[in-house]
Amino acid sequence: MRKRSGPLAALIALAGAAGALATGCCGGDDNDGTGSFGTFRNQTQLFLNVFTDDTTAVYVRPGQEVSLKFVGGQTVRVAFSPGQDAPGGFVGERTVNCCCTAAATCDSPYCGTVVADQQGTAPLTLNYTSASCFTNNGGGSCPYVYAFGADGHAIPQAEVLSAALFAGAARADVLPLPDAAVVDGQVRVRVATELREIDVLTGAGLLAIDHEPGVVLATDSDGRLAAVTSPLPPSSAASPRVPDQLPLVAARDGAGWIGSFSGGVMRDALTVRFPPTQPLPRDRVVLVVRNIRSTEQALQRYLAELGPGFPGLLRRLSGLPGYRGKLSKIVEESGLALTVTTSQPGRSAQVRTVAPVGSLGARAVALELPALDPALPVEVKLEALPTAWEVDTVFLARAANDRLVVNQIAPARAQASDGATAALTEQAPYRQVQGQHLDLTFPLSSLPAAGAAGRNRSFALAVRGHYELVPGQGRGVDWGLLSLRTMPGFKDSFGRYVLGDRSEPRWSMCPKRILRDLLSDRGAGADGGTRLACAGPEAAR
Amino acid sequence: MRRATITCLTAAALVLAAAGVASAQPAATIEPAAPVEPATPVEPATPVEPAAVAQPAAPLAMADREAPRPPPTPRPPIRPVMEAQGFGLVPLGSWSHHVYETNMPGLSLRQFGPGGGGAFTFGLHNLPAPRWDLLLRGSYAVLGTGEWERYAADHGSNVTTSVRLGNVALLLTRDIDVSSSFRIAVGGGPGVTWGSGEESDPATATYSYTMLKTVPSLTIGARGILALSSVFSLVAELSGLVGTTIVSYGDGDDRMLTALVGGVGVRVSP
Repeated sequence: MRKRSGPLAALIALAGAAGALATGCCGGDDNDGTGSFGTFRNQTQLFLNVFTDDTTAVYVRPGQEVSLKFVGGQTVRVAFSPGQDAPGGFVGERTVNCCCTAAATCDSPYCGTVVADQQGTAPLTLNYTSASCFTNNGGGSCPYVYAFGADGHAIPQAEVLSAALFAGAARADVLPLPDAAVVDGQVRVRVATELREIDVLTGAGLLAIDHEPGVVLATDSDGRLAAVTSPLPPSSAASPRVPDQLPLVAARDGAGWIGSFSGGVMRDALTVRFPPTQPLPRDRVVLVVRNIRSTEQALQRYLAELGPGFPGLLRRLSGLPGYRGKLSKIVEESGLALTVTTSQPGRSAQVRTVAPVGSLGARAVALELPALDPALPVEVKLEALPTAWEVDTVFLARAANDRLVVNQIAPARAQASDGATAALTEQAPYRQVQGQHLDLTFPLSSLPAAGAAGRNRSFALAVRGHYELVPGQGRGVDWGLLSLRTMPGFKDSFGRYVLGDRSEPRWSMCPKRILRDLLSDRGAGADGGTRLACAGPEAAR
Repeated sequence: MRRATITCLTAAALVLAAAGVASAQPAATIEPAAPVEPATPVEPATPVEPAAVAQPAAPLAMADREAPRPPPTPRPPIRPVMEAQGFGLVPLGSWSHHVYETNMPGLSLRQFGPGGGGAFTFGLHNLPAPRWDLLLRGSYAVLGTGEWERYAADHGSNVTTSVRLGNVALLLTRDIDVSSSFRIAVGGGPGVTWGSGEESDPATATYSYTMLKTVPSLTIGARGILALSSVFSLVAELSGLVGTTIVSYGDGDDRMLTALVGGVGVRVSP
């Protein structure tokens, strides 16, 4: 029994890890020690010195762009060059993420662009644009959702069903569609499977939400619609190494805080403080967050090393009782979930977690807070595996679900990319693989006209389903590696992997390989170069 | 940059050629080969350069007729040479100026100032020919950074800076005798020059001057050599050092190496 429970816990743990990040977009190599390159641009009026763990660029002039190299780390630190009557010391720090941009296997992954900016006398800010990763034959991902704009173009919104890995973790999700436009009385939405995965939908609908101006649409931690109003921005934000991170998270601007592995820590934290909320009480903290693509890619490689049979094994295990709960627990413990701790002076802290949301776009997640004392300041501490999350902004708000009028509309047409008409029911799940998409058309003819009584109308997509990893060729699972990665030390196993630590003795506890080596006349070292999954060599034959 | 290099090479060739022309005249008096061709002064078909050839050739021809040909002078022996010098280096040109000047009109700030160092040279005298020296020299200088440090301090930063310039060069010089104990050697040659340095800003870190590069360079100069004995000499030298981009700030802001070097030292030729 003990043998059964061990692998089960291990597998579920890995399933949690996989679902947590919803997987990556490309097979790029990051943190592999071969060197990655990024770009730094100085948009301030002063000269800057820029440091990575591997590169120093001194006296970067205003307007200048320089190349940065990353091998041992992915952190950019910036200081004003000396002798300019400017503040001393490091004035900005930013973690970048690297991936291949042109081919599945590349020697020099790209790490995106860091831009230093400074408006007037305000503190220097570092904005980051991540690399546009190569997507072909990459790992799995959650379904990508696009909304069609007024010009007929599909506009990426975000991912849905993150962490719903295999049927045992299927769930519902609601995604606000800020770019959806009404054209000819219809709203069109596309659900695309762009990466190496299988997406399964068992239901879809459009929520037409009439609300007062100023209401912000978000999703709660269970994937339900959560509208808020009266946002209160933070008064300060700090991480352990950079005392002022407020410019990064003060507003929703597409650039945010990303944790850093500096100092070898496997968790980084951002502490955001708010002034007393009086006279208007607040009962929600809203996080606008997304996951980092390169870390998703690292997770894909991390899982792929477990063997081609690992996805199939997970599929079978997902039907076991306790799969969903164990998945959530492992995601939380591994750092792939965002831990949110809220507190007020003299009052007990509340700890919540946010499951991964994918990297296509930022999602607003509203967490319910216990009754806050409006006379006291509020502190919100975010902790996660460095480079797993980007926090665009954080604000307090007041729940506004009771001030909405929501109408749900079923799709009048659900057309797959191969021309077939899809059914979206529990009895007839719709499945699509990489390269396929589903266009959903929602007629609004049954709804009252929008804009009545000074109210706005917004849209959100409600879906239900899950996603699956695509099985590899072969059935092998590297049980030894699986055991190593799911031992009590698993908490930091993936973090070390992201950092480039490949010191795991992958040859251990692989009965199939041991047996083959014993029987093979090629000698024990015959497959020393293919120390991946047990099934690796078989798959290659 | 290439044009500048070619110009420098041309200049070096001219210097060496001038040295050869200047030393050719006294050399002719001891060179027995010239009178061997008596047809030269009487050959009517070669009056193309009558002034250059006929004038010195006539008395030599007369002497040839009046005296027996002297035996050939034995080739002077090739002797090893070692030199040790201390020198001062004055950076010239934009590479020594701070990049802040590009963004602050009116600012004149020298980041790399005059400095000093040492050089060690070894080679062979009378190679590849009599009166020539073929030398390999290594030098290392520390540049002054006081002006920049004072400027930084005046603007809120107490930085400590250290900058070095190293050079290895292959030199070919030609002696011009001035007296029995004093001669001037002119020449030069290619080499490699590298810059390095770092700056310590207590508010951040110590970081390297990554804008300093390693470049091909050319040394051209003249040296006075005063023989104290058959073995020891005093050497005083003035030379110019030029090179390609020794400082690069990126975005096309590349700055060529130019410097003036003056040094004194001792020369040993056992």
